[in-house]
Formats: sequence, C-alpha cells, structure tokens
Amino acid sequence: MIDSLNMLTDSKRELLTMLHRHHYSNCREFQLTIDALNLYDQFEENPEEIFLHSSLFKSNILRSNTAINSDSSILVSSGTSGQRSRIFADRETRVSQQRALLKIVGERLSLSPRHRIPYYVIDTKDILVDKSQGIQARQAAIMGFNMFGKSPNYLLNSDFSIDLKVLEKLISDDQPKLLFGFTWVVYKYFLMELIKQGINFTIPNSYLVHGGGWKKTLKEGVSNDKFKSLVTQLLSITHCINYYGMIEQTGSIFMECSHGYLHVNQFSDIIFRTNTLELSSINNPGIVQSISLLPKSYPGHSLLTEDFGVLRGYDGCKCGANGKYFEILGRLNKTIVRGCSDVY
Amino acid sequence: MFIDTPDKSEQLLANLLEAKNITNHGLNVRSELLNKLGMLIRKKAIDHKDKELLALSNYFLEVSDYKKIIGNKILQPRGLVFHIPSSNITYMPFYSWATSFLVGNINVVRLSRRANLNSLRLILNFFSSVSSKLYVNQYFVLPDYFNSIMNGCLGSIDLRLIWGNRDTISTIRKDSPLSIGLDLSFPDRYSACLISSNYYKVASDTQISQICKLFQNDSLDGSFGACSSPHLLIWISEESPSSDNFPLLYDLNTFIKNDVQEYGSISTENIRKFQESIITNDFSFKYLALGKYKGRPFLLYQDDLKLLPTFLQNASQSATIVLYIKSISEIKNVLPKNIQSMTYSPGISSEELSSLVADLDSNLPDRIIPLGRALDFDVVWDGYNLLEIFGRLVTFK
Repeated sequence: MIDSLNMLTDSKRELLTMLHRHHYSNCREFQLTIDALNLYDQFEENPEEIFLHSSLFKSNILRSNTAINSDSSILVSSGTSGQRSRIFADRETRVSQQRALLKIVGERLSLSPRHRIPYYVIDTKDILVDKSQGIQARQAAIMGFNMFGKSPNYLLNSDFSIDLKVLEKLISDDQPKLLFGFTWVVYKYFLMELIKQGINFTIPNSYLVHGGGWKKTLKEGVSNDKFKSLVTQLLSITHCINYYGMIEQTGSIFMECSHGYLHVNQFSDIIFRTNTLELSSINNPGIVQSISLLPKSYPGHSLLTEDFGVLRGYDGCKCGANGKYFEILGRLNKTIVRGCSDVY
Repeated sequence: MFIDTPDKSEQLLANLLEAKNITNHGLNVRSELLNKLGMLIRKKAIDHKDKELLALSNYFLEVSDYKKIIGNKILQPRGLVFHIPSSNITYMPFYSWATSFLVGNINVVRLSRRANLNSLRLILNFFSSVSSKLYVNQYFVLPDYFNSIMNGCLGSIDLRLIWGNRDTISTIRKDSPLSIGLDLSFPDRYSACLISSNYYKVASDTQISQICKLFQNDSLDGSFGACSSPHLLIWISEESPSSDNFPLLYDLNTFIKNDVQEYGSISTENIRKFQESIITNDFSFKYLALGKYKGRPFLLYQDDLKLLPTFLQNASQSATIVLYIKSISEIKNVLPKNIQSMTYSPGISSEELSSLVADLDSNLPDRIIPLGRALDFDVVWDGYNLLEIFGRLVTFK
C-alpha cells in the first residue's frame, strides 16, 4: 500500500542525500548507524529510508564535527513528557533555522520583521532566566517569534497567574497583535484561568500562534478543535494557528492553514510509516518521520518520532497552499522495551 | 499486604525482626488457595483476552498441583524470603512469589518503579476474593520502602532471589550482603529458536500463519525483551538466506496487523534500541542485514563462530542474530554455551531433537520447548527447580 504522495520531491531528496553525506563524514554516531546496516548505498537511491530515532538526542549529544565555541549552544526540549533532548546547534545552523522560521511564519501570517506588531507572550518572563542546561524549547520559541514583534509583554506572572495589567493592555490596545505560547501553557494557565475568572474579550485582526507541549494537552483530552473553540469563545481572536515542530528541528516548523491542516514547506517534509516501517498510504495513519533540511551541526535532519499522524493530501488543500498537508493525531502508545535484566 | 506508606513499612520491618512467625496453614491448604486464585484469574484473563494474565493463571494452576512436581518428597519452608524481580514482565513479582508462597515462606516482594501498579493491584484484589489467608505474611512493597526493610533485616533473610543483570546483582550483593541466607540470582540470558526451512517451504498459508503467531507469542509482541525470547534464530536450510530470500521475515511482517498506535510504538522503540546499541556497543562483526521485524533488524551472522558469544552479548537485546546451517546435526558446532531456552518449529521430529540433546552435551540449553512456548514460566527455571529452592527437602529414611 505504498503511496507515492508520501515520498519526497526530487529536489528535497537531493538535499537530504547531501545532508546524509555531510553527517556521515562528520558525525561518528551517524556513521556507525549507517555502517551497521550497510545503508551508505541508500543515500542516493532511498534517502528517505535513512533516519535516526528522535530519542537518541535524549541520551546523547550528537555533533557533526563542529567545534564547541562561544557561538554554539545547546538547545533543550521542553521536557513536558519525560527526559529532555539536548541539541548541539552552532551559529550556522541557528542562523539558517532563524531564517527558515522567519520565512515560514512570515508567509503564513503575512508579517515582516520590518513592520513589527505588539507581541504578547503567554508565559512567564522567568522562563527566559534559566539557561543553565542550555536554551530551552520554550525560550527558543519565544525568542524566535519575537522577530515579528515589538518588545514582548508577558501575560503570566512568576507563579503562572495572569498578569492583569498586561491583560488590560492587551485588551485595550486596538492594533493588530501577535500572541504566542506553548499550547499546554496557553491552555492550563491562560484559557482555564480566564474561564475561572469569567473573563472574555475580543482581539480583532490578531494572531495567536501556539505549539509544543501538545502531548500533555492531548492527555488532558483537549484536542486541537476543542482548543480552538475555547480560544474563539474567550478571546474572539481572528487567527488561532497551531504548529507542529520539535526542538530537534527548530525553525522548519509545520504551520496550520486556515482549513486546519499542517503543511510542509521548502525547509521541511514529512513521511508517514506503517508499523512495519513501510510508507503509509494517504488517509491511513502512520508513524511520523520528520525531515528538516537545515541541521548541519547535528544529525537531526531525518528523524523517526514517537508521534503518529496522517497524510491528507498533496497540492489539493482548500487553503490553496501546495505540497503535502497532514494532521498529527497523537503519541504512539508508550512502550518501553525492557529485558529481564531491568530490575528498577 | 501492599506496603505503600512509611508507617506500613516501619511496621513490617518491626514484625519481621520481632519474630519469624510462619503461619503456613499447611501445604494442602496453600495449594488449594493458589488453585482457587489461579481459577479466578484464569476466568478474568479469558473474559478480557489477556494473554499475560492467562499465562500467570496457568502457572498458579501448574504449581498448585505440586505433587506432580515433587512427588512424595517432604518440603518445608525456608523462612523469610526476599524477592527482587525484573520489571519487563508485568506479573513477574507474582511468578516469583507463587512458588514460595506454596512452600509456606514469609515473602517480601519488591515492586519495580516501572511496574504497572493497576495490574498488580488487580491480582491483590483477587487475593481478598479467595481468602484473607492469602495475605498472611505476604508483602508486596513499593521500591521506596524495599531497601530499608531489606537492609534492616539482612541477618534474618533465609533466601533472596534477584532477577536482573550482572551489575545489578553485584551491586545488591555488595551493598546489602546477607549474613547467612542463601542468595540466588537469575542473570540476564539469551535464547534461541530453531526453524526448519524444509517444513517452511511446503507449509500451507495456515501453517505459516501459525508459525508467525507462535514466533510473535515468543517475543513479547515483538520487543524480544525477555531472556527466553529468541535472540538467536537458527535457520536450517540448503540455501543461505538473503535480504531478498528470507521468507520468514516477509511473512512475519505480513502477519502483523497494521495497528500503528499499538505496534508502531514497538517498531520505533526497537529502532531506538538498535541505534542506541550501535552507538554504545561494538558491532564490528561480519553480518548481513536481512530486514526488520517491527523495527528490529535480523542480522545474518557471517563471522568466526568463536566471536559469536561476544556479538550476541553486544547485539542480542537490540537485534535478532540469524545463523544458517544446512542440517540439524550442525547445531552442536554453532550453538553457543549458556543459551536459556531453545524453541523449535514444527517440522523438526522428536527423533531429531533426541539426537540433538545427545549431541549437545555441555552446550545444552536449559529448556528445549516448542515454538510459541518460550514465555511460559516453568517451575524449573534456569535449571533450578523453584519448589525445591524455596523449600527445604526433608530426608526421612
């Protein structure tokens, strides 16, 4: 049941092949995994068949022969669902990721760093303080979206209660605004709190962009639809836009269109696989393999994730955007493969 | 009793130190209790189509029929027994406990941090349905309290069972040495599976499906995480398998249902485990990748047989090692020592197996059993008769 729509375009395959070669030459761990199954010959023929498991970044800092210097940084996943990934990003990779984010978000939101709008972060300012273990995903995202906004206003206090002064400013300001937050934080500390306090308001011509931490939200039984309807009910905001992304592939995020589907872009792609790791056919749920054409300082360009989703189509989305569009359905059931030797 | 609070933990330690009062109700009563417990669990397992629960109930029923196992030997309890089970099998704490309970010991069983407490509570709820006698001197302890209880009465422990890897066993023995009690450990092992391609070639679709089903039964739904799951596959064939010509792998992949959320998880976890293993272990051996089953690679071993045990040690938890031989008589030349279980497929005759047993001599695995039975827990485990280990055999002349 292989569906060619699930494959990559030729140009992306070429870029992916180049990245495979780059990481093979520069990252010992990547080289070992390729050599172990003799996959070197597949670089050109079947580049999409080569991937690392995303959780490898939880137990290893994988680097592609880039020297650690003052310009390099470690990005750390949000850790809402367990152990954290640690990603080594050098300056070149970080810059390309920022540029990609700028282009993807700019195009989707029709925003530009030249015409910045008021920026409201649904999080606490304190989140930016702790960089002891590296730059956390939430920090990176807040800073990333800041490219479109004027100096950020934080809607939550240190104890995650709503800062009513900032909220008042948000409501009274008539200009178009950009609101950003991690889905889980927005839901738990903002929307739920607004309900408790019986507050609702209207923010016209504005955007709420949210993503990340969605596994926790889904666990609470809050689907994307439910989240959206809460946002409409409480904020009456013009655009509520979800995105799918991961710290291992910062920048090349998949943004939701006006019809509720996530879309690939020139920097990223997505593949869905059956439980036997064959390509899934269209409309059949599969394991998500996420591809980013950006990471050069670490081998995070082709990752098998623990998420599952479904490819809905190619070029035919009613929003008018080209390329693959898809949905993320959730997290695979957690399986820990343990042996008889595991006591604790 | 479930020990899940500091108060209960302290009380238990005080009780254990105060007196080793073995209230054993008599062997026949205990056997009856275990039998009733097994029957109740069996019903639940059948109603809910729960394979793991069914296997546990079968074990309870098997052990409760103790006379079949020990005949007329007289068995007395050892006294205070501590159990440290592995965490990969949900009901492992109860497997370890049942035999010791039957013999009449006071049992203190550690529950793993990763244990599914709901499943374990389910079994404890059955205890109360059967009889309160089942609770007497039987303790299931959360990990936070286990060590302090164990360390508080090291001098009183008569037997301790540790199911784990060598490092864990050494650490426990070093940090918490028993004064006089017997320490018994079951370190991690690996197992083999013997399949005849002659049978496979002529098997009908139904027979092939049956082999796939049995193979799947033996591998914890594809994770191969148990010592008794097949980590070494011995393929008897005239021709060497290749990635294009290894029908078993093709059939296994066709057999598994396309349930992404359930089995996809095992596939990705197997991939993770394999890649982790490559990064941390030495894979510089000659082998040919034949393909994958639920993300787990099957690797045809092509290196010096002397190196096979090292490769098995490095790779068997994350890959299935395939050995190809032309006839069953060659097994004696290729089978490494220290294999725990060896399953055999249909198509291998009892005569062939008998002659294999005679040939293998000191290389004999602990168990040689039909395909599909690898995960059945036997009262004889790793070569030990647990009934006899948990008890004292009385000589009466």
